[in-house]
Parts: sequence; structure tokens; C-alpha cells
Amino acid sequence: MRKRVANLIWRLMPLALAFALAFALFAGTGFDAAEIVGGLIEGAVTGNGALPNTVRWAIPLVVIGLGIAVSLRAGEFNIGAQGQFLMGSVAAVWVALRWDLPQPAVYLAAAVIAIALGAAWSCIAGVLKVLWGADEVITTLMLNFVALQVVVWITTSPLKDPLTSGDAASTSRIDSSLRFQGSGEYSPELIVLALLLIAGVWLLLERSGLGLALRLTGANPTAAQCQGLSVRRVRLWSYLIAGGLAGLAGALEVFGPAGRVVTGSTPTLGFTALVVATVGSLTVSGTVSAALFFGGLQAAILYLPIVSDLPPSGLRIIEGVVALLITAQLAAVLRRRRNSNRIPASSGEDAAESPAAKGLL
Amino acid sequence: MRCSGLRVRFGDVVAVNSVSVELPRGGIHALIGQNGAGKTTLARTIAGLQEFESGSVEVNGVSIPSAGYLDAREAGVDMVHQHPSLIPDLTVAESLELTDPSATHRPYSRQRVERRWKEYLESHGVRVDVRRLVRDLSVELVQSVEIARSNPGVGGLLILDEPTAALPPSRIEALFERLRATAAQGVTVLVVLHKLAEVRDLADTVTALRAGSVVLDTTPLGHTSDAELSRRVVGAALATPKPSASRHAADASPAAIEMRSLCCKGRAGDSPLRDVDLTVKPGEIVGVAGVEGNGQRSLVDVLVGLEAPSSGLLRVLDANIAPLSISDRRDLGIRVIPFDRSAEGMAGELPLWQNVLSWDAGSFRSRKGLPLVSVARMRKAAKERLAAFSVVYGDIDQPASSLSGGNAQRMILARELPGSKVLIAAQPTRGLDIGGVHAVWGAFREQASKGVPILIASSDLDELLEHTDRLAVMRGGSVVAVHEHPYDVQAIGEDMIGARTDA
Amino acid sequence: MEEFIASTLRSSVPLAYAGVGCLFAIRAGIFHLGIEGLMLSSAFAAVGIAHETDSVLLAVAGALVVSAALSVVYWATIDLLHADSIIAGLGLTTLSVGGAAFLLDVIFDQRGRLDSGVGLPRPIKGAQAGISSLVTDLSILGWFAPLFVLLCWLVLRRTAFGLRITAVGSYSYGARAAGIRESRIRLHAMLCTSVGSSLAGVELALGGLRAFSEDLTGGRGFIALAAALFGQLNPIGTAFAALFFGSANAIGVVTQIHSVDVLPRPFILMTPFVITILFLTLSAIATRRAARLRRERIVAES
Repeated sequence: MRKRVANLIWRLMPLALAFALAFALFAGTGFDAAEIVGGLIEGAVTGNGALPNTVRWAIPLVVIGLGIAVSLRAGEFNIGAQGQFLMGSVAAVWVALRWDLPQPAVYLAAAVIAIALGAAWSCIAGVLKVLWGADEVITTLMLNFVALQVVVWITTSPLKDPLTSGDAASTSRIDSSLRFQGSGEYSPELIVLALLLIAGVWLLLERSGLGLALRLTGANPTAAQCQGLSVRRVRLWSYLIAGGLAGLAGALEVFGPAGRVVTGSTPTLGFTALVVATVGSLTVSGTVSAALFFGGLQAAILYLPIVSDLPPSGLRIIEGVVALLITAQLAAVLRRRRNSNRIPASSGEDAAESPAAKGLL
Repeated sequence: MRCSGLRVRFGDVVAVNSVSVELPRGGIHALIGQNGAGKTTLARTIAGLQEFESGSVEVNGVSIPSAGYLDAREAGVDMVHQHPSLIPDLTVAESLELTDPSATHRPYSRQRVERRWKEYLESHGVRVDVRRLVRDLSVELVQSVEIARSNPGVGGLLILDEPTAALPPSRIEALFERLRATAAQGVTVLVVLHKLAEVRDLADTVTALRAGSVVLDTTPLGHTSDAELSRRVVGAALATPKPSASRHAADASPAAIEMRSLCCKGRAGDSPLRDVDLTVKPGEIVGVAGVEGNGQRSLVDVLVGLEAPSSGLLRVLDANIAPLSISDRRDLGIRVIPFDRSAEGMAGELPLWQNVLSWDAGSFRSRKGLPLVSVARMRKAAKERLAAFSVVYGDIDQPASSLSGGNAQRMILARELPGSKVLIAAQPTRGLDIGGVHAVWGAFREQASKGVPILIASSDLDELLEHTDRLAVMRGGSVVAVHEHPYDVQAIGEDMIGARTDA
Repeated sequence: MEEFIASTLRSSVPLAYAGVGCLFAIRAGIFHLGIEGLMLSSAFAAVGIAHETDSVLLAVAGALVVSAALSVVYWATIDLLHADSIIAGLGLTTLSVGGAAFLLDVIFDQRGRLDSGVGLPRPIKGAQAGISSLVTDLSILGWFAPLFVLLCWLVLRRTAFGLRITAVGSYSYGARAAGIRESRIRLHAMLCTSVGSSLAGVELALGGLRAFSEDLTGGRGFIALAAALFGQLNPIGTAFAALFFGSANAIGVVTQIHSVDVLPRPFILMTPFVITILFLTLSAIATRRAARLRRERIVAES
């Protein structure tokens, strides 16, 4: 137990360090750090309507973040969640606006198509990687930009809301009877759905053959192969799951708080979800906690201008510094320092060669 | 060169324990010992590439601090590593230029550099196109370049770590010639070897290590016999090979593993398979001996399913397994102990129970009919398996990397042996202590007595001699001979290095 | 046609600087996703300084300093703290995006955009008629780009420093055995990368628009990385890859100017990214093929 607490503290150190650095920057540029902290707490927890807003942002983060955790667990750097999310919301809004179906059928069709489109988007990179070795980091990034242009297209031509333009260009709103929630209130449907997804991913990772195979493949693909696992199939599954979850998150956003697709509304949600998954050490419980935390941060930053004049870009700074530092293995560094550091060519492998995801698991 | 009271430790393992050795200036000195005796560690320590805990190293009167490889270089120590240290993505000339300490920041002329190293290599008897990338050269050529490069200067110390491991016999003699010439120029040569014949051929004196301690100190070769050396190295008189208990009935039954004219491209760094003919009968333990890099790896890969055969027959348990996937082969009962325990055999960061049973998760379906596995039952089964193979561990959730070498190998046995119908093992005892070696062979025996055919590739000839029923020798990707009891050690050795068959 | 070539050249210049610059990091073994961030913060620093001082020289110097400082931070997190280079690189980019927007707001009290009074000089003036926009449009950095590429080629392929960078990225064990201080080489490689990305950012901000906007780089840093991979990690190859990606971008620009209605504009804007994916895949296939052929040759020779 004590070891667990110590472990947790080590994991949270980079987070604390990142916040300290970000707040030092805010203080250095003339903001009152105490006021910001107060504002953050008020905006995330204590303020009027703060908690529903925190949950509102935590839901997409947790759904996308769990998919990313699955990817990284399998050793695949699928960082295309943003694009997969956007494709999911495009699919959902298309179904809701263009298809004249009874309400349950709309939900079903939108969910199925959003999941399929997100998964397909993810699998483009997956197939290119698994079959031909195209680097998934670049391809998933590029697919994000392509997806963004798809969003630009639907918000400027086929489903355009004529009153909007530029970054605020959006599709028309979906029928309000289809929506789960307005802004500033809890949505029981979304919460229940999110809890079901959390349970599902937990079962998948901790209680299924595929989950065990994912881990083995991520930890040592050669060993996995020698033990008869189909490494290719396992990797493709990781792309399917991550893309499907991100696509579903896109649909939930459309039927939930957003009600439409806006070109520039959530440009970094996928990235924040990546931070959430890494802060949560790729575990389900960790990802859920981190999603609540960053959901709170997001809610508070949107709320902050009311209490403090900190610009919303402050949130990006915090996220950036957290991502920069979160994978730092402070514990390992300190241990090494103690053992002195003069071995030039000893233990064969070192940081430069270790697989990227090693520090995360 | 003089070192005294040297002690090197890796975690809990003492690799070199209060070693004191003094090499006279000049001459060729051999350092021998079994796998894991601490030869490489001692060599690296002297070259300043390894930290030591206590003791001292002195070369030509200059004291070399722990891991002080720059000091060692100053003192004229140069080391040729067992693994090549040339850079695969650079050309030969560039790779050599990189090690030139007199290099400046000014741009160089490619022609000049290439001419320089071409001439240098030719003057050392190595003919190679220096404009080729290092990765495009064979292992053997890379090593020749590497040995040619090492140049400690007159009065210096040249250390070579198992330089003959990757070389074909024809090259070994050329290497020895060169080392003799180097020594004649006034360089002291310390060479790690593990073949007695090579020691006899090359060295003036021999130092033997066993389990991290000196058991024979810089003794002129004339003063010692082969039997004496073997006894010192092994710790007891070399056990005379005896037929193992499991040889019953093996002769009459049909082959369980059958390879006929099997060819395979093989993996990088190892010889491809050329027309391999080999059979293993039920209950038989067949060893595969050979100098490393002569196709043993490719042979294991093709049996396991990591590589596809390009032609020939590959039958196991009366089934043509060539088209089968790895998991189909596992379903047939083919199990494998891979070459490299930590790189291929286990996922160090995952808990023990996952390492033992993840591959078989399908057999632990939860009873409620859901497509889920019962982790509780998996843990229980993993505990039983680990107990059956006496793996010592604290918690079934601890990461596999926390196990010591012997325990880790037993964990792999616990994964592979139960339910096996055919066993392929590679280097099953590398780096294990006596107890670990015993456990592994005991387990193999037991499997064999149940009728499981076992094929074992190992670079430890002694253990193959002691434990196998038949011994195949591989050279250049083919099985050049299959020896039966009683083994003629001399003939086996000659087959390995190619001294007799081609004649 | 002329318009297309001019547009290609203009789009290629920043890609060439950033792409060739990031070769140093990639060859040293670091897949540097912070390039995008370095470009953006350099652009911001350049425009900010130019806005205040009207000095192009100070602006470029400031951009170089900012980019170098961020590179040292990135190096420290991955080399000293052993952070994961991909996630830390994305973090660096996000930090830069956030930092630029934040400082834009705090220092200049602007949202989203800042104009600069001055821009990079254009050596050939277009005042008199008859001179093609091919040459008049190019800034001094555009003219300097081929020289930069050659210089990087010289450093990477013809100096001991370049050999060391490759050694560190290609085979750590061998690099250490050759007595190379890996950490220091990685730092130096990262600083070289920071110069390339910084000049790319300056060219984007002061070469054409004379303004900074939050989406100025728009993923060009990532395309530059793809250009480096596509160019087989060779400076000359990367420069040609940059030209190629630049022409893909130019198609979009030209069709937009002439409002050619073959495809909706977003589909034209996504072409560079789609082409990047396609060519990355092709080059991955080619690399695998080459590796297989190479192995067969070694086998045949032995």
C-alpha cells in the first residue's frame, strides 16, 4: 500500500512541476496566481454550474482517452484521435440533419456510422503501418489535418449554417428533441453511457484475451509472436478500438452539449485526451481521474475570464508543459544519479534506444 | 597490465570477485572460462568500459579509474568488442573516420578519407570496398575491419573479446596470423577465447576464470595439459559423455521431427539454411552444435514458424507444418525456448501470470458464458505452473524482469513445457548457474521420458555432450554430421570448424 | 504556369528550412514533433520584435534565440529527464501555440493576429515591368535556401560532427564504443534543428505576409518531418521533397486564385496531407524492399 502511494506521488511529480512552471509564467506576466487558483477551483468545482461543466468536458476526454490508452498499451503511437473524433461528429451530424428517421433509429444509425467512420479513419493509418511499415505518428497526424478539412467542408457547404463563418463556421443545429442535454446541466444519458464505456474498456483491458494480447504485444512484440499471437491482428484491433471510441465521442458531442459541428470549437481535444491517457499511466482508473481533472481545467478556463483576465490560451500552456514533462521518469533519474553516471558503454541499451512507450507502462 | 582485488557487481550478482592478474609485457595471453564466468566483464573493466566496485587496474604503470575509458585509451588500451561497434548507417570509411581522435570540425574530402582507409585496410590484409555501408557487409567482414582498425600502438594492450565467434575457420587462421604479427610489434594481446584448440594454437599464456574468480593465473601453456585446463574451467574433470536414460525405444519408432533438404533464407546475421537433413524421434534429445552464426538460429526460426522454408520437407508429428502459422503449430503442441530469454522469451514489465499464460487466455474463459477470461483462474493456474517448476518469486503480480536469470528461465519452462508434444530449445542454459542448468536439463529429461522429441541448439558443447542422445553439427547452414554415442569429441570439434569433412 | 512555379517556390522555402533542419534531430535518433512549435514561436518572436523595433535583423536574431532556448528545454526533458520524445514533442508544440497566443494577448493586447511593419528584404525588386514574379517574390531567405541545404549537406555528410550525429542515432553501442558523448551530440543536433525551424518560422511570418497569426504554421512542421523521411534523411533529397510538397500546396493556392471549381476548396487544401500519407507509405515500402534485397545480397556473397 505504502509502495502504491509512493508510486502515485512519483507519477504526480511531473504534473506538479508542470503546474508550478505554468503558474510561474502567469505570475511573471503580471497575473495573480492565487486569484487564478481560486478561479480554477470555482470554475471547476464550487461555482454555479461548475460541476456539470466539468463532467461535460470529462466525458469526451475519458472516451477518447481510453481509446488512446488502448493504443499505447499495444505499443502503437496512434495520435490521430482528433481526426477520428471529428469524423465521428461529422457522421453523427450528417445522419441527424439529412436522414429522416424515427428517433431511436437516428441514434442507432448515428452511433454505428460514427464508430465505423472513426474506426476506419484510424485504420487507414493502422493498415499502412501494419502491412507496409508507414510510420503511424506522421500518418495519424496528417489524417487529423485531412479530417479538419472535411469539417471545414461540411460547415461551409453541404450542412452550412448560413449565419456563421470562419472559425465559428458551423453546421445547422440538430433538432433539439434529439439532444441529450443543453449546456450547463448534467446529462444522465451521457453519464450512464460514459460509465458503460469505462466498464467496457476495463473489461477489455483487464478481463479479456484480447486485452492480455494487447499488453503482451505492446510490451514485447517478438515474445508475443513467439507465443503464437498474431501481432498484426492485435495491432489492427488497437486501431479499431481507439478510432471507434474517438468516433463515438464525436457523436456524443453532437447529440450532447454541442448540438452541431463548429469548425474551430475543440481544436485540441484529441491532444488533451492524449495527455489524459498518459497522466493516467494508461490505466482505466488513472485515465478516468485524469479526465475529470482536465475536464475541470477546461471548464474552469472557459469560466476564468469572469474572475481573472487570464486568456484561454493559458490552458494550452498548462497542457503543453504537462505533456512535455509527464513522461519524464524522475524516479529513474534520481536513482541513476545516486549510482553515479560514468559508465559510457555498459548496459547495452539506454534511453535513446528504448521503445518510446516504455516509460508509460 | 596489472589488476588487483578487482570486484565488479551487477545488482546482486558479483560478476568478477577479487581478481588479481598480472600480464607481462608483450606476448599473447588467453583468457578462458565458461559462459558467464566473467571473461567479458573483466576484459571490459580493464578497457575502462565497466565500473568496478573495488580494486585497481594499472596499464604500463598508469592507473585506470573505474569506467575511465578515456584514461585507458591514453594508456594505450584498445578493445575489439564481441558485438561489432561499426555504425551500420555509415560507410566503412566513414565508420573508421569516426573513431579517429585527430578528426577536426573542418569538412573532409570524401576521396581522401576513402583512400586513406582503403590503404590502411589493405595494409592490414582486409580487402573491402570502403564506400559500402557497414550494414551491407557480412558479419565476418565487419569483424575483420574491426580487428584491423584496433591499433593500440607499440607497448599498448590490445583486448579482443571472443574474436573467433563469428568467423569461419579460414578466417580464424588469418586472424591469428595478424595477432601474432601485432604481438611481434611489441603490443601485448589479451584475447578472450573459449576453445582450447584455439588457445593452444595462439596464446603464450592462459588465465582461466570460473564464476568470477581466477582459477588459473597467467600460466605458460607448456606447463598445463588440456585435461588440467578443462578441469580448472569446469570445476571438475570433464564428465565423460554417457548415454542418457531416455534412449529407450528411440531407434525403432518413426521420426517425430523430420527435415529433408530444407532450405530457408533465415534471419539477418545468421547463415541461411542449405539442404538441412535431420530427424528427431519421439523421446529423443538431439543437440545442435556449431560455431555461432552457422544456421542454428535459422533452424530454430523455421521450426517455430518465424521464417518460412523456401524449399524442402518439414514434417512434425506426421503433419506438414511448413504452411502453418505459429499459433497453429502451438496447437499441435510445438513449444519453444527462444534464444534470447529477455528479448524474445518474456515481456519483462508484465506480471508473472501474464507472462506464463497470456498466450493461452482462450482456455480460461469465464464460466458465465461471456467472452471474458477468468483472471482468478489464470492466476491460480500460473501459480501452480510456477510451483511445479520451483520458480522462486514473491508475488504473482511482480514484473517478470524482477526474476533472476535462472528463475526467469524456469518461468519460461513453466510456460512452454506443460502440454508440449515437441520441444525446440535454443541456448536453454545460457548464463545460468549450476542449479539453474540442472533444473533445465532435469525438466528436459522428464519431457523426453514422456516421449516428447527435443531439439536443442546450444553453443555450450560440454552440456550437449553430456545430455543429448545424438548430436548434429551445423556449419554454413547445413547439418554436416550427426554423431551418435559414444561421442568422438575430437571429430565433433573438427566438424564444427570444418577441419575434416571437406578434405 | 509562372504563377504556379512562383507559388511552389514560396511554399517550399519554409518546408525546406524546417525539413533539412529536422534531419539533424532525426539522424541523431529523435523524432522531433516539436518542430511545428519551434516554427510558430520563432514566427511569433520575429513578428513581435519587428513590431516593436522595426528591425529585421533583431527579429531574426530573437527568433533564433527563442527557438534555441525551447530546443534546450526539449533536449533536457528527453535526455536528462528521459521523457518520451514523441509526447514531449507534441507538448512543446502545444506549449508554443499556447505561449504565443498568451503572450500575444498579454504583451500586445491582440487576439489571433499581429502585423509587422517590416518584412524580409527581397533582393530583386519588382518595380520595373518585365521581371517575372518568380524572382521578385522571393525573400532573402528564399535565395539563401539552396545555400542552407548545401551547408547542411556538408555538415551532415562531410564532417566529423555529421558522422557523430549519424552514429548516435544509428547505433548507440557503436557510438559509445567510439568514445562519443551521446548526450552532448544530441544537444548540438537539436540546436542545429532549431536554426532550421526558426528560419522556416521567420520566412513564414516575415517573408510574405508580414504578420503573425495563431494558425500561421498550419501543420507545416509535420509536413517538413514527412519531407525529411521522404527524402531518405538526405538534405538534398529532403529539399526536393520540400519542393514536391510545396507544389502540392501551390495547386491549392492557384486553383483558389482562379476559383477553379473542380473541387470544393477544403478538398484542395487537404491534398498536401493526403499526398504526404501516400508518399510516406511508398517510401516505407521502398525501404523494406531495399532492406530485403540487401539481405539477399549479403547472403549471396557469404
